[in-house]
Amino acid sequence: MDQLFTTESFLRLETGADGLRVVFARDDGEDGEHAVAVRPVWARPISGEGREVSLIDERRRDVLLIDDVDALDRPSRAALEDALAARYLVPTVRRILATQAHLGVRFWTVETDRGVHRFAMREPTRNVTWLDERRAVLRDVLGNRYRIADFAALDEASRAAAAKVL
Amino acid sequence: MSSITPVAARFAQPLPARSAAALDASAVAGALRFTLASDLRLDHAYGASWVAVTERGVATIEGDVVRVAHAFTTITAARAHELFGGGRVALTVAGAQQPIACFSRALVPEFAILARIIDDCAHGREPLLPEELAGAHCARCAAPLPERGALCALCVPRGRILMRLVGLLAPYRARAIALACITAFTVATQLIPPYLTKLVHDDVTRGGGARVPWLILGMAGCAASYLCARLVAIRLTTYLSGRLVADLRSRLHATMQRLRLSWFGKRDAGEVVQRVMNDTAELQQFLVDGLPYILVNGLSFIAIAAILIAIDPLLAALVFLPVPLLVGGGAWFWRKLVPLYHAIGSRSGAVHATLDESVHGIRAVKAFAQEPRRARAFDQANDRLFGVRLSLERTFGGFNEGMFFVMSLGVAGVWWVGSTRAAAGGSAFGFGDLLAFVGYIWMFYGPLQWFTAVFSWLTNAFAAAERIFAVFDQPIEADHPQAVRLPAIRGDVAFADVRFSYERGKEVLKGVDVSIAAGEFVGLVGRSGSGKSTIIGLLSRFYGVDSGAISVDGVAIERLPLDLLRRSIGVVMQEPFLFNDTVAENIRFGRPDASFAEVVRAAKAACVHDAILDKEEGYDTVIGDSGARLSGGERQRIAIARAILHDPRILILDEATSAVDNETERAIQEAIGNLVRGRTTIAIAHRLSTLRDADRIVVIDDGRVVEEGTHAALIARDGHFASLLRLQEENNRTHDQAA
Repeated sequence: MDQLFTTESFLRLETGADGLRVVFARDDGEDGEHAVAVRPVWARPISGEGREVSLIDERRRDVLLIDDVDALDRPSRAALEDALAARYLVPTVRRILATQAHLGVRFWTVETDRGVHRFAMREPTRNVTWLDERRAVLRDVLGNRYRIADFAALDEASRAAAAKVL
Repeated sequence: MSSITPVAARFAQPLPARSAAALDASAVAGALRFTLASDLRLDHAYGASWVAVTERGVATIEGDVVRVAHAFTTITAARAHELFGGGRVALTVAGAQQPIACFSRALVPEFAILARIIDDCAHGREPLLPEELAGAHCARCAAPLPERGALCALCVPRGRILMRLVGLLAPYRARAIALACITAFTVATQLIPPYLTKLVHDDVTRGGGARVPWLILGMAGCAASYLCARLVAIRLTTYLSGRLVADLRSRLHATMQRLRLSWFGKRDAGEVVQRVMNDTAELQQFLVDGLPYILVNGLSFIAIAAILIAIDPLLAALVFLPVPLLVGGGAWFWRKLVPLYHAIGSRSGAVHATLDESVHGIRAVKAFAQEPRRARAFDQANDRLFGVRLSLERTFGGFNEGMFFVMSLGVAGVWWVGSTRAAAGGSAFGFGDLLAFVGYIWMFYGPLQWFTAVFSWLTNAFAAAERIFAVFDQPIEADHPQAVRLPAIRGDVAFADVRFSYERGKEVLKGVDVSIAAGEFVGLVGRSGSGKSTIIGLLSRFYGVDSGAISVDGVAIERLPLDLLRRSIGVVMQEPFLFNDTVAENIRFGRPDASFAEVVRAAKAACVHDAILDKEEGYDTVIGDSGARLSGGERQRIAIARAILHDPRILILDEATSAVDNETERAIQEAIGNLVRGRTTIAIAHRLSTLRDADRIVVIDDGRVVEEGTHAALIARDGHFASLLRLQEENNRTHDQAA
């Protein structure tokens, strides 16, 4: 892929009082630096989480697109990962405990990396998205998303419960 | 069961004891004012984290640990922020952001309100709670709801749905009762022949054959009665279910016309249409095929069981032996079948969608030379459908035969035990009884294997019925009980501190103040998303304001009869919706009784008369897919003609000229000039030059009025409007240069 990440005036990322900041070298010839308050968003939150991160300023413009988080220096990376963790509330399903249908609503009880949770889904054909053979994203009636990182790695009971729907 | 609880109660839930104790020991201890439990903790794990607002400040408590506590004296702001999959409330304390709560999307509206409460408290204002708020969880069993404010799928009593369905039959009571009687009669005609068989056998073997011809005549009579009863029953069922579904559809349609626009805002049109057609069709199919099946078979099942026990309890017990196997086998089979049916549904949907895209998108496919890829995509979808069809047939194959085998075993068992006992003689059980037994047993076994299938059918039909009833239960637009019946509307419009949000937590209008005198022409200007279209939507009362007031002729619009209000407002939209009807009927839409001369006059004023006559079929030209295609400018001017004929006191032009070329725009401008005269006009315009004639221009930015004045005054002021205008002129110049 082409390099999207422009490093010319980029110096670092840091956490300020108002959240994440990106610090650039001044480009007007003067010495010094200037910081812009940004919020990080995954460019492809469903299919490519963990890949490209865009930094958006208060006027909703992309000021920097980072396509390789690993290329950042350690403190910048830590600041970015903290900010991302604070923004994205997508649990990963570890086990599917039960799925039942009542009056056309499918109820899921799942154990996630954030604890056990129950949610309701309508029309599984529209609300279960397979990214590939193994990864899937479930969407509940409210629009909350739940990730299945590797369907094949779920235990037997989970796959049996899911087979009723998926 | 309903999830709409008074809002005050939602924000006054008692804290758990140990959390309350922890709060009392904290820096913000004091009288509790508001509480709210989140569904996520601050570290994003599922679990309750309580936010407590006391008279002194705000605290977040998880279990018995106070995670965050801030006194109002240190808080400068409280805001709810949207996150991916939920949100967060953060306080501004000494210039820094302090998160106090994380929550999933289930609680976004609640925490938006809480953020405002805290903000109000921190600034010494008395917090205002909205009147109603639809929760995302069932108030009784806490299960997630199918949608905000809906009935709980777990708590809604099935009996009530059935009663409502039966209630729909009330107008056809006589037919329904007749059907029930005929059904019982049908069952009886089926049950008599095996008993007659027994009597015939007994008479013949005992030598007394005098009764036999009559018995045989009775058998034929039963068959004839069965035939007649079934014919009548089929006619009645078809009529009743057809009538019921037609009634449901027309009631659904009528209800939807009166539903608040916010209901439609949350759904796509396809889903709504599907609900009207599919759910009612599913219900109809169940009522025609499923319900009679359950009634007839349920009734005969009980009757046969009683007869078998009456003839010989021991042999009856033998008959019942394979029943669990039959029901269990049916259930097992059905469980395998259902996912396959679902898969067929979604895969044939995929084939349809691919075909549909290929046909509708044929230009794009050809232009990008992607025919082979489309063909591959179609073949793939097609093969996947074939695969699942195949496994369905394979699952089906063998099932019936297997069930037949189990039933045959039961029958063989009966023959064996029965014939031994009949041969031994001495007991009351004779060979005739055995014959009757065998006759009943097949009738008894037959429907059992479909028990589970019909049960799940019943569940689906109930789900469809429940979705339909949910629409009936939606609040509809209604006039205020003390509506002010003005004879006519002059056209003074005033907005006073109007606040509005489509979704709680995301305010679109943040206090709009505008007043427009009758007959005045006002232009609304602002970036897209600034709230212009929302303002005119509120004036038409498509939505209700969160706070503030909109008045027409000094009367709050909620107090005006909807009919009068909307008759007095005419709207010309950017992409007007025209109905699949003739040009003349479309122009007449707002005033169906208008004469043809009036239609022509309106078309002339809208500068579209000549263009209409240029069509082969003139005013009879049908607009729509199958009819002649009209250009965007023609459609626009037909919509203007429609508005002219409608003759509203208040005219709304929503980007009426932005989608057409300069030539057409000139014609439309002229048409609009004719339309505007003498009416209160609110025009949203993208091309600022079109507002040169406006009496006043109001500039909206971020949900507020930021500038107001005449074209010239605003240019002189050199503010928002002037900079917007400069930007646009610059664009035009580069455009012209490029051309």
